Amino acid sequence: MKELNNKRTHLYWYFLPLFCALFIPQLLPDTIRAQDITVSARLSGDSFPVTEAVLLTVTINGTSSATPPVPKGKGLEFTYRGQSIQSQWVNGKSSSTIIFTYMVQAAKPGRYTIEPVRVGINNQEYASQPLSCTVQPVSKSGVSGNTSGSGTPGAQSGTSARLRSGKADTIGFMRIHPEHTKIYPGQLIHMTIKAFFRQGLRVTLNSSPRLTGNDFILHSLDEKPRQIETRINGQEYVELSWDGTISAIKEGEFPLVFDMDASLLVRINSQQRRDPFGGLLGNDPFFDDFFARYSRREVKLITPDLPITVRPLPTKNRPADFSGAIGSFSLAVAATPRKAKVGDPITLKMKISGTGNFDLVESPQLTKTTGWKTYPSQGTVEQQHPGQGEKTFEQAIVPTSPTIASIPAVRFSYFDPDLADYITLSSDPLEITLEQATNEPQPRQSQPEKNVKEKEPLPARPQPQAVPLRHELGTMVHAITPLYKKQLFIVTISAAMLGLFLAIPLYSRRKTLENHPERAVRKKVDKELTSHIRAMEDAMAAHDHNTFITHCRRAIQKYFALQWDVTPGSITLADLQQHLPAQHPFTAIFSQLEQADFSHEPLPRQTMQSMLETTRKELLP
Amino acid sequence: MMKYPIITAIYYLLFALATICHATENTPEALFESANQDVVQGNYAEAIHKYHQIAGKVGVSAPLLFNLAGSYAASGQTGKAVLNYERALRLDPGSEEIKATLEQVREDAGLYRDSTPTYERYANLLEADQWLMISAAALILLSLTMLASASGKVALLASQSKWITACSLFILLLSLPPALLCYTSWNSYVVTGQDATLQLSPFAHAAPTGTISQGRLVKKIDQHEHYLLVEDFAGQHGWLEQDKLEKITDISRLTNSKENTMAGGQGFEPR
Repeated sequence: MKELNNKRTHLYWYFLPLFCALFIPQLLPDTIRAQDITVSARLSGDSFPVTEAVLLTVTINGTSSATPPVPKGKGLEFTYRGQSIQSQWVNGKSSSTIIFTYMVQAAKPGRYTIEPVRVGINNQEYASQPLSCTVQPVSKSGVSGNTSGSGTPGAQSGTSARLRSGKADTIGFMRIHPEHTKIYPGQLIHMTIKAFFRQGLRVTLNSSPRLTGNDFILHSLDEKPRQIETRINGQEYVELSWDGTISAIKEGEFPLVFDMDASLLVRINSQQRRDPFGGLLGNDPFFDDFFARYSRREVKLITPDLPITVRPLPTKNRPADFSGAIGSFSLAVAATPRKAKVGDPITLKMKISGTGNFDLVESPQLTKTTGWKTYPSQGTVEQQHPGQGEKTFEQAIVPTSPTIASIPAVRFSYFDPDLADYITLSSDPLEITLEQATNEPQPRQSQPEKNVKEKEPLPARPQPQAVPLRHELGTMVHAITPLYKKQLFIVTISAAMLGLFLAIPLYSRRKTLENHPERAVRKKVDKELTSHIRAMEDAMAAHDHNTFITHCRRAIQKYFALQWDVTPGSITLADLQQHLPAQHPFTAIFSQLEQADFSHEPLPRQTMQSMLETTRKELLP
Repeated sequence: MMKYPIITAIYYLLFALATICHATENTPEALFESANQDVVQGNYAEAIHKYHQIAGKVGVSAPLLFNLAGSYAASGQTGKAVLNYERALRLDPGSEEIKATLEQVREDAGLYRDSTPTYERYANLLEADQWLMISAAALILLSLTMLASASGKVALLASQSKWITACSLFILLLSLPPALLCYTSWNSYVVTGQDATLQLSPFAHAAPTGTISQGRLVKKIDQHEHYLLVEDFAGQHGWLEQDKLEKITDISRLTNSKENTMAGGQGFEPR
């Protein structure tokens, strides 16, 4: 046990100097550890194109902790990319170096100066030397020379490699790589559309590449792009590629332009953000990302105008059967059955395969049709790739002459853009064996062949069909007018529509009356009361007091019958006296009417006038 | 002359008779009958000329267009035949005879129609005017039923009213969409020119994109000078010279053509 303790003590004394050598210098102040603190700055290249960025390294020697401000330079943009610390202990002396790395970009070409980076350490300020750099414009013929030497010229070459200056190229750009730039109208050409987005951007595609303008037709385009990472002139890009085919509509020189919508999540400049922890977190990129704010920006990438020359198809040597097919094709012909009778249909199968605009490939045509009845052919296209495949035509042909020994050759003409000439493909005649269609006895074998042929029936000449005729001239018109423009129809339909619109209020009124029957009764009584009042007026004018009395009494009875829900005839003076107040005018009127009726004395005119006015005032609404 | 009153009278009588006979010969009915005789005798050119004369004088009718179309078909002018059968069908949409003859002409010329969707086959059961007539009848019945039901003046049971209303609406729904669909092709064109070549663009030396048979129905999409951008019912499209096609409903070429006023002549094609 004691021996073990001795061993532990021995180990302790062995590791103690090592521990001190490694960690104690870190605890000492900088002034004790090192005497010289220097700040230096260096650019990875002092001349670079506007489409690229260079690295700025700020090196602080002689200290293990320092927080330099973000470098400044008018017209330049600095992006913090990280830091590293190196510590050395040589011959009892420690030395530390902190290296801060920034990415430097410029918005436009020019000569720029990076101001000295000033660092405050132990109440003393140290500064780096100022730096100068030249930002070059983009060359028109291609990507400008790569100062870092890490570009991949093969990725971008020729016209399509031209990077446009401007804000769009700081996030991405789009280019077209057509198979040819000199084409013919209707010629199908392959092309590749490439979109490049800077590595690290969060991009969402909002559309596929779209063809702008009406000079070309987009026949096919990959639904999903291929994605690879590529490096162009020292800058990492994500490359998206679509393959497609286009054709030109008309002759001339037209720009081929595609555009595409995308959304970007753009981080708001970290230099401007406020550290909620007052610099406690330092410049750690993790916290930079954590606290960074992003905004969504819609961008539209547009390819540069790529002039395409559409040359006219030559008229010289143009075959008569040329249907507009342009490309490179081959022709294969087969027929079934090869042994048939006159009048039996034979299916002619013609296959055109190759590359080109199959839309305009039409059925090959028989070079001779004498002795054949032909029907229109039907074509089906099978494409392996856009613009490449085969089109098969099936045509029914019927031999009408027994002398036919072969199916005539078929021919197909197309224009070969590579040869700039028309090509006509012809098949070989296909031998067939025809038998007689009639049930006539076959000629004897002993007969010479010549005679057999002479006895073979000639194809029947079709009899002209009788033309169907009408013998009545009928109603003459000077224009073919559709029914909906004829006046009678318009009037009839208008009336029907009016009826429909009228039916709605009528239906509503009817329903209302059905739900409230008292309103109908009230209306009816009102009409009757009006009629009685008029009769009273007429009777008064004619001094017919009996009629006056009758109508006045009936009016009062009907009025109260409606209110008391009894029959009008059952209402007497006693009922009025019982239900109405003592001074009610109708009690007095009804009493006067009773007396006059019983006494057969005529009512004075003034009394009748008074009764009429009272009745009218009280009964009519 | 007055010395011989009888001879003078006979002379005037003969003159009057000749005038009457001439007038009778020149009536549209007489000309129509004469044209029909020409058709029977195989003088299609003469018959067509006479039918055009009638059209120029008094307009067209379904029988006139039917006979004219028949003459064209017999003389091998399928495009004109289809055009005038289509016109005849517009004027007499219910005629099974015209439909059957038109189908026969199409079949003989190999103008087969591609398979159409079910709704189009349903719409093609009747002509546009026939569908619209059914729709109108259903609408009138619906209107009368609702008026009667709303007014309460007509003794109509509620259940009867509901049934009639429902049936009217059902018929309206069945007939109005096909009517609208048929009217979309009311103003179609018929290719009448021989060797009609569809072109890629509306210029004289533009590249051809295909040929289109005479008698094919096409729809006009656009026009540039004397070229029309057309599309047939199989989807094939291209620019075609205006002279190579005729609008079905436009009979002005028929009624205003020069040969209507001609006494005779070789040509009978309206220009």
